[in-house]
Amino acid sequence: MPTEREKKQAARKAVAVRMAGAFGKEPVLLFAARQAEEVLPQADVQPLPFAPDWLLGLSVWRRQLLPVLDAAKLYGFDPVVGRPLYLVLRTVAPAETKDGSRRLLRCLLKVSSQVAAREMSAQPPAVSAVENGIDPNLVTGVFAHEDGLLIVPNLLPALCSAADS
Amino acid sequence: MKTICVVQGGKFLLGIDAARILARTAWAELAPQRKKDEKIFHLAALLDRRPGGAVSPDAVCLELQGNDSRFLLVVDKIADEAETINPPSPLPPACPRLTARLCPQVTIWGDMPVLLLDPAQVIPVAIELGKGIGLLTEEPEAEMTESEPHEEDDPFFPEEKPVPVLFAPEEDSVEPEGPLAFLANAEEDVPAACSFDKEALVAETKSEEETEESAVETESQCAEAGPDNVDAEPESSGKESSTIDEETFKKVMSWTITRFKQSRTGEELHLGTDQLPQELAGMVEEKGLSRSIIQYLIDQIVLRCKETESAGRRLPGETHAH
Repeated sequence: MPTEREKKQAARKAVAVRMAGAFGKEPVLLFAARQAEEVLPQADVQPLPFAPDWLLGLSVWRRQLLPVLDAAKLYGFDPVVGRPLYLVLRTVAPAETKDGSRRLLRCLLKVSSQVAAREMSAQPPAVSAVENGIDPNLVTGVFAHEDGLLIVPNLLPALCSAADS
Repeated sequence: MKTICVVQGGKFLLGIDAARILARTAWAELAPQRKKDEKIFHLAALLDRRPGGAVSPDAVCLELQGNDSRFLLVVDKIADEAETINPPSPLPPACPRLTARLCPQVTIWGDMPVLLLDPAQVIPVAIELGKGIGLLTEEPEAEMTESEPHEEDDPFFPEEKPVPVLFAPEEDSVEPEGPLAFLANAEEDVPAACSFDKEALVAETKSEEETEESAVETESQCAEAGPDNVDAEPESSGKESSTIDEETFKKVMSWTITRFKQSRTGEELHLGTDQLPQELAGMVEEKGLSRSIIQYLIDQIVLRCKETESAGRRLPGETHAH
């Protein structure tokens, strides 16, 4: 488990993605810098049959097969206008085996082109995900900020279980 | 290394172990010889969760070995046949359950992920989906994209029968109006007697035997599904009219003929209801007309236009040169 200090460090160095949404405030997805491995200008996505709309398909990244998720559809934001970007994200799934080994999961997340590195100088106040129309299972935190609604996504539910439409 | 046949079904790309393919036949060859009770699966429709529809003339029919029996699977095209360099791997856990069942493994072909189809799961998955999904029905529109539908042995276009009804025949009329009449009258009057119903059309294009049981079953199942079934074809809702009114008939005919005229540069013409101008599509929608009937009407007009063109542009009312 990361220490409090490590958590704070990770939070300070973030990758912010500004999306468009109907929450009153513009939603900004926040990822720890170490979680975002690469930003791709494009991706060849092979669609998957029977998939929900937020699961765009599979793509090959460095000879690895990764699921491609559409952030706008997953979180109910407005569709991405203009040319999208694809974030290669990694996340760690909790231990399921007896030896306690954890799984490293990767995915491509289709986002808007407004991606920027960001320093978080202060911890903004937390707000309710539900009250802001966001599925609480898909976030680890939602924060009010003058820049918009800061959302720290939790992609594990989308990556760990079968996405049936 | 395993040899896989990379096939396309709609927007999906799948790999099939070449050793599991027992035979391959061009759909254009197979369609006329198709048996009434033969169950054929349509890959694009199955993956799109809809009943089998129009089959591309370039489609290929694969005979595959299922769990207990052989079956036929129509694919849009065979993209490649290649040896798998990358060992297949299980699908990522995010993939839908049905996808993982139908295609439990995935490999990399070039730079593309290719799902590997398990032929033994095609029938069970189609059964699970129900409502005739993935099953090629014998509705006329399923056959209308054939490039040469007037071959002598074509059961859907028997030579002796008049060309399927675009107008209810008048008592004194012997020959149906030729397509040049449509060309000439496209922007003018349309004969008043122009209503026809789906049954008449189907009867024209099918042999006189009863409708295939499975096709009927499919249609009725779709109808049962009702508006809640978002994947069902619109004409399955049972709320659409099977009779075309004069105004719609005239507009569809004018539009089809115009498009035919515009396209006469040697290329194959494919007109579908999805290409109708917004105003006309809205009219069809508003009047609750069956899209399959509209599609059939379009196909027949195109057919007649082609017929006339190939016969040296006969004048309106002239008979066919069979």
